Amino acid sequence: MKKILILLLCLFMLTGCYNYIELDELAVVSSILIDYKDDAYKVNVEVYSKEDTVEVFESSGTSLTESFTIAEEMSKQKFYFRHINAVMITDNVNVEDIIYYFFRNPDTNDNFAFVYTNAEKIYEDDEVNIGELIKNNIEDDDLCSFFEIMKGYINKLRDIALPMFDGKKMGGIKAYKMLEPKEEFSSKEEEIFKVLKNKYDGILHINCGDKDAIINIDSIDTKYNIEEAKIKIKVKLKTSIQEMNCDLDITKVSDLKKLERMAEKDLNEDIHKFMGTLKENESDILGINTLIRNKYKKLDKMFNDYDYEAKADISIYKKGLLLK
Amino acid sequence: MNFLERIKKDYVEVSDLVIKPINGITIVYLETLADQDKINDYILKIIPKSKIPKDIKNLVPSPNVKDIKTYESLTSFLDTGFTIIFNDKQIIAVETKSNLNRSIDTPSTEASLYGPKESLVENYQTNLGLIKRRIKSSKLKNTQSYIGKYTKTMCSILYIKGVVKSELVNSTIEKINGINVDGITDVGELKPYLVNDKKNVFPGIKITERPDVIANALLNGKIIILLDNSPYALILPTFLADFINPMSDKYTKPAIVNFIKILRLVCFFIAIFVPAFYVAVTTINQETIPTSLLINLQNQRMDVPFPAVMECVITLIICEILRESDIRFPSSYGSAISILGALILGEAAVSAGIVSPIMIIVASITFISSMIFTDVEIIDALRYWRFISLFIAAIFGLYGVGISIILLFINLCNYDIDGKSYLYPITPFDLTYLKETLIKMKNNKRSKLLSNNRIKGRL
Repeated sequence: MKKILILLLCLFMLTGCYNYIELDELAVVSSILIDYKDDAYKVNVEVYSKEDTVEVFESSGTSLTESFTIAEEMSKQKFYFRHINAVMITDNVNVEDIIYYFFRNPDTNDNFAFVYTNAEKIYEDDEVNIGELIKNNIEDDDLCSFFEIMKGYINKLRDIALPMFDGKKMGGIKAYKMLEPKEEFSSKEEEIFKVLKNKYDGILHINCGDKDAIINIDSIDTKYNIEEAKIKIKVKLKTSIQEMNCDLDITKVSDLKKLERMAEKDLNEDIHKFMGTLKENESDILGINTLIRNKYKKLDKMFNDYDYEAKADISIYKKGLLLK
Repeated sequence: MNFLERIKKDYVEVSDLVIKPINGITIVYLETLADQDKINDYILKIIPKSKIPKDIKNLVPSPNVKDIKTYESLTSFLDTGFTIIFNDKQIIAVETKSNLNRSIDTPSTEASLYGPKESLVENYQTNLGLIKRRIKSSKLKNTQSYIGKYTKTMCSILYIKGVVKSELVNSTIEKINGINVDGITDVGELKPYLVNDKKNVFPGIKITERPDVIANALLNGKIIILLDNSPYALILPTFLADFINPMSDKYTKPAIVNFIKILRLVCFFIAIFVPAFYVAVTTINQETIPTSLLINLQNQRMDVPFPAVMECVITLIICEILRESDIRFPSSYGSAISILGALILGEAAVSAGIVSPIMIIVASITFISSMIFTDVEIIDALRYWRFISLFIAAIFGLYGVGISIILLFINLCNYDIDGKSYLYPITPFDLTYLKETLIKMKNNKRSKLLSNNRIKGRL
């Protein structure tokens, strides 16, 4: 009996109840915007409200914790970060501080979108849930989830890239070198980045003079072959035609082949150009340094010391309906 | 002192005792138990007006006439509706029992769509007849004994010789004979003497009113206990699987009934753990539910002043009160209570902000799931575990739900019925009995735990 009493006491004293909170006392946070101005953290916390609307609480403090505490007091509820969709940061904030804060916070999830923004005003309409907007517009959570950014941060050889949000829509990426903001890439370059990360299932534009064709990527297989002085990038895509504006007769096999060759040429050029920019900025957002070290067990040459050769292999399938 | 004088002394202040001297003989009977027409036909009409012969036993046209040798047998016959005839030195008992029985009715507590529509009645002979009509074999044995110093209630243990294990019969007879009480009024009172189930809320013995269930149990090597004046019978031994799989499953196709059987098993857990799960995810583990559902639940709970666990307890207790009153009320009032409770009270409670709509859904799912089981004792056991898991979940969240599940299984695994595991045929695993209960499959064998005669269809 004494043992059971001790066990029960331990159960009640050491576990349980500490995180008991009623639903109506929770402010479920959808997104957070973090800025740093005049030696103070300025936070905007977007929480779910009644009837599909949102409420935004704005506060500032000398630390993130202080800012959140002030905003929490304004909301009269406890901020609940477990269902958070997105965290946006600006150029001014120290990324490391933010990563540390959310990494150490046990009451948050690790798959929210970690996003860069340069927009002046974001929370203008209380009927637009910015957190959900960002989450729904991100095609692949794997690339920009907080967990993925954390992995990039822990792996010191690799740089991180955050998706960009302009206040209305997603587009482009922001590269960080040693957690310092560096160059920005356009939406087109973001597509190439995703292709090279083997995570793209969107569309590609093929230029044919002043017109273009759009092909839809159904499967992707990107491989890196590291040789002595060169890194060969092989991209194998299985695609289908989505829109055809070029002067080609796609009911002919020869014209289809021609389209495939044009697509491959375009992609090779884009990859080459993108890799050139990365080399120039010494920004290893693709994690190639890690691949080199994994192969040679040491890192005598960095990724920017190598030459690159891209070889795209694009095949258009589902052509049964197109061919005569 | 002769027997007649002794009756007069012992039965003083017994108002229905009739002592009637006619032409030198005396007849004694209890008018509440005896049938006046039978007394008239079997006794009064045949008494000669002139000289009475020394042996009148042959004159009595009744099919059941007994010689009385002792005073104890005399009172025993008198108390069961016989008429005692004192003739010079001869004492005989003539059966003149009045018919105090109701007719055979449809099952009220074990209703099923298919299968026989007969149920046991209070008359032991009728009940035995209903069983023997289904098992026409001399191998069907019944050992009788009387229980209760005052009630002297007839108790009968039925089994099929050659099918049942003799140890089971012997131990049951021993237990029945060891009962020393003033009286037993219903077969349910025998349960504590047959199975030691004080540490467990789950029923250890199945109680039934259906003769087809009884016949099936006998054919599987189980034993049946019938009690006079009780419209129910006990089936021994019974396991958890027997309670959640009714006999009516035998009358439906396997492909269909197996789905229902799986559904019942799921409902067994739903009926226990849904309120606990709801409280856990709304108070401690909010991260486990999708955001849209969380916001929806939050909006519903905004106006409720009570904590989720209190809200849950209030709703479940109201449901229990409704159920209890529904059972006790006459059937004509039952529907009114249901409407008042389910529709008006539920709707009003939500409008008044006492409970949230989702809580009504949770309580309804829980109750509907528990009502799948026909046995009232199982429903009561589910309620017991429902409240235990609810309180544990309110403290520890989903971790507490996990603890409750483990506790439930520890409890069930520890439970044994006369040395047989309650979770049989899962532990110990027995495919033969599994095919009889949890899954319906072609099976031509009996369970090794219940019978030594394993092959069905072999005498």
